[in-house]
Amino acid sequence: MSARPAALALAAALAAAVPAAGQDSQFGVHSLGTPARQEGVRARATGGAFTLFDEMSPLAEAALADLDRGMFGAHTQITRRAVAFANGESYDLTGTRFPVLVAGGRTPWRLRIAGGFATYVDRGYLVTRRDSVLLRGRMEPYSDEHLSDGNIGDLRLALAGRPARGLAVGGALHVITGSTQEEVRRRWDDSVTYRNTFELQDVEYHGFGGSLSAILDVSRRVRVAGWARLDTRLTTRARGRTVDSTDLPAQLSAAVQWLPRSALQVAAAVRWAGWSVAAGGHDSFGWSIGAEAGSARLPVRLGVRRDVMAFGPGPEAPTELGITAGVARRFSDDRARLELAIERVIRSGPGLDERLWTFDVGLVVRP
Amino acid sequence: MTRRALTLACLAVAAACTEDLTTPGVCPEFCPPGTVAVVDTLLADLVGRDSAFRGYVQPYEAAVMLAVDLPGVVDSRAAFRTGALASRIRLGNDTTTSAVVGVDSMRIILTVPRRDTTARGLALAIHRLPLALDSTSTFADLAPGFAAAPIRVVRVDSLIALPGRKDTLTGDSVTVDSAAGTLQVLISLDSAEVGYAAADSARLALGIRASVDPATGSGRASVAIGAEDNGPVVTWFAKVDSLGFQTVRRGLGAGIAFDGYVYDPPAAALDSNLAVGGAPSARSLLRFARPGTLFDSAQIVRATLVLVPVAAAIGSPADSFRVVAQRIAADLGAKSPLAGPSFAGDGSYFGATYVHPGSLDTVTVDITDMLRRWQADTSAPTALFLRPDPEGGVLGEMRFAPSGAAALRPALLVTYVPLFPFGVP
Repeated sequence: MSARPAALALAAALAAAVPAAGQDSQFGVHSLGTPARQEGVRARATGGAFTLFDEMSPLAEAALADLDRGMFGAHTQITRRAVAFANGESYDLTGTRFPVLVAGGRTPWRLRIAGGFATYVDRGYLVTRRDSVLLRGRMEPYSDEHLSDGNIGDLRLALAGRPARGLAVGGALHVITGSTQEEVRRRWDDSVTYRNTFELQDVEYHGFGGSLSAILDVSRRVRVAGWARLDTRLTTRARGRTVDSTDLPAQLSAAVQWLPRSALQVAAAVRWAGWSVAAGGHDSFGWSIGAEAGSARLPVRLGVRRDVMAFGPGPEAPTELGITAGVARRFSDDRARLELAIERVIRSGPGLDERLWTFDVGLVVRP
Repeated sequence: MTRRALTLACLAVAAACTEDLTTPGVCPEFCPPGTVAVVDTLLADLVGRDSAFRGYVQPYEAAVMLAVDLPGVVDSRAAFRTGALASRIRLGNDTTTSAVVGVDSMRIILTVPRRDTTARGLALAIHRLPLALDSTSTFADLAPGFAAAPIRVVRVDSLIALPGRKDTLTGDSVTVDSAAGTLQVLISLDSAEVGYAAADSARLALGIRASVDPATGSGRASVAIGAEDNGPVVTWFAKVDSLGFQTVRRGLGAGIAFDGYVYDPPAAALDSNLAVGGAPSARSLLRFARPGTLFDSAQIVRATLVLVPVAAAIGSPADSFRVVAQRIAADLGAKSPLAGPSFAGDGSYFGATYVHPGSLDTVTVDITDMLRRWQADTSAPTALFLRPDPEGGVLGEMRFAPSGAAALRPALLVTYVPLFPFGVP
């Protein structure tokens, strides 16, 4: 296959995608948002177990050390979400997102470099509300709409190398930036007497962070990886002034990868993020187990993961369980790779259940 | 295979590029932080530097002539003067003219846009007045004419009760437009009643007094008779000499040279209160402060001007009138020009409400759109005139407490939404 269809596919993916959130949740609407899983399609298809070993995942600086040539990749995510509130109301939501873009390559030295962006926190929602208020002696019913379109992104510049034969290390600087365009409308039932109101405002977010990771080749068949990240406070600005400053969590992750045979890889990962430092947040903990089998030309992937979610109402954190599968196809003499992943996610928490189907399409070009 | 997979992937991505993120909020757990706050408050210190002025519309400029008889309160009489009648007219198709030698009869059509329908036995008395009638004529000047016996008394309510609403004996009739609430009264006068004075070129000055039957009604008569464009229509039926052998009748329209009304007692002098109405009409200018919390940092949802009367308007129930709060285009004091609509359907230039004679209830005028206009146009003067409608067409005059009256001063009852706390958790 020539480069033309690959470029066409990439262009289509980029054009169709909206630079917004990755995988939103109603649990995050009342707080900072829904922290995104910064994973490439391969890592996502294995439930996140391969994240620290996948150079296309924004968390994996050390994995870049084995990059033998330049690469560019992006992926689009389609989500269908069924939201069921405890009061019996349920709604089906859809969204198309563009959560990850990575570009990397070699340097004249023994270092590998990569950059790109990923979603840090999703903040996309449109919430409607019916209520009434006592005005001038009468109850006046109204409908409110609050739309948030956008997200908090994570721009990354990463370096990685192998100081020793069995050890890969990497580090990255992160610029946390992004904005949401928020609209708030109030429509009065008696809009002749009471005029409807509308406000539109861009809300900007700024912060910085740094991360380090390492992969140790314990043997020819076993590798272990670790990753840590610290961020500054997240500053929120609206109407030209700072309106909020929120602590961001420290994050840790560890994983082990086992290659029992040439056509099979198995990995497991654990992760922790101290989101309790943010208002209304819970410390989140999760684990993943995943496998990749088959030829390098057409691998098949499976995974399962379970996480405690960072935000949700009340003292009890919601949980999510994901079962994933995926496939990849290499072509153009291994210069391009099309990756597909599908995931079923079940989220449960106080007052709300969510059921998601997510479909990820990724394209990696290695010229 | 690869090409097919790529094509399918592209199609899947393109087809799925839709957004539907709408959910109803189960609040506060699953609603965004921050709510649309609503503030409903009375701003009593917003109005200042207010004044009242009189003389905008004179009785002879008004759209109606007022014939009012409120015993012990006010007596108002309508008066109009016809133009000259041509002394010769054409009878045939050629240019030959014939002399007008007299009149056979005359017909007057009066339009009555407003009357007190609770009064029974309404009668309009037609009086002959001096030809000197003009804008300087006073109630006293015309009093002798009205003191004389009327040339005709038209009993309007009796006409309405007649079959066909017509008096076959006199020829008088009435047409009722119940949808518009108006009357048209047709009065037929014979030559003896109106006379024909060739020396005056048939000019005629007539006055109208209204009265009601005190035995069957309230004893208060109040009638507004159309003036200006809607004024009396007078038609002479003239006798014309036809070649010296006989006379023929021809209808000749007589234009109205003057119409107006006189009343007693005259309008009270203005004081420190805010006067609206009366004749000549009075207006009051209200200037508003421009607080940043309201004009710069809020969205106005509803704004109501609250006025406390200190004196009720006089009149019968039919004399209710609108108090219009109309913004001004430029603040030139008493001579400030009124602003009009900026585009078709623009309602931001005025607010209005009805006031009723005898009522001392607080008057409220919705000026929401006007305040929103002032928010958007920071160069616009934040001032308005309170004026009556119809201007010059009511004798009643409301007087409201001015800004100097601490407890009763004009106030603004405003409902607004402050800036939404975007980004605040």
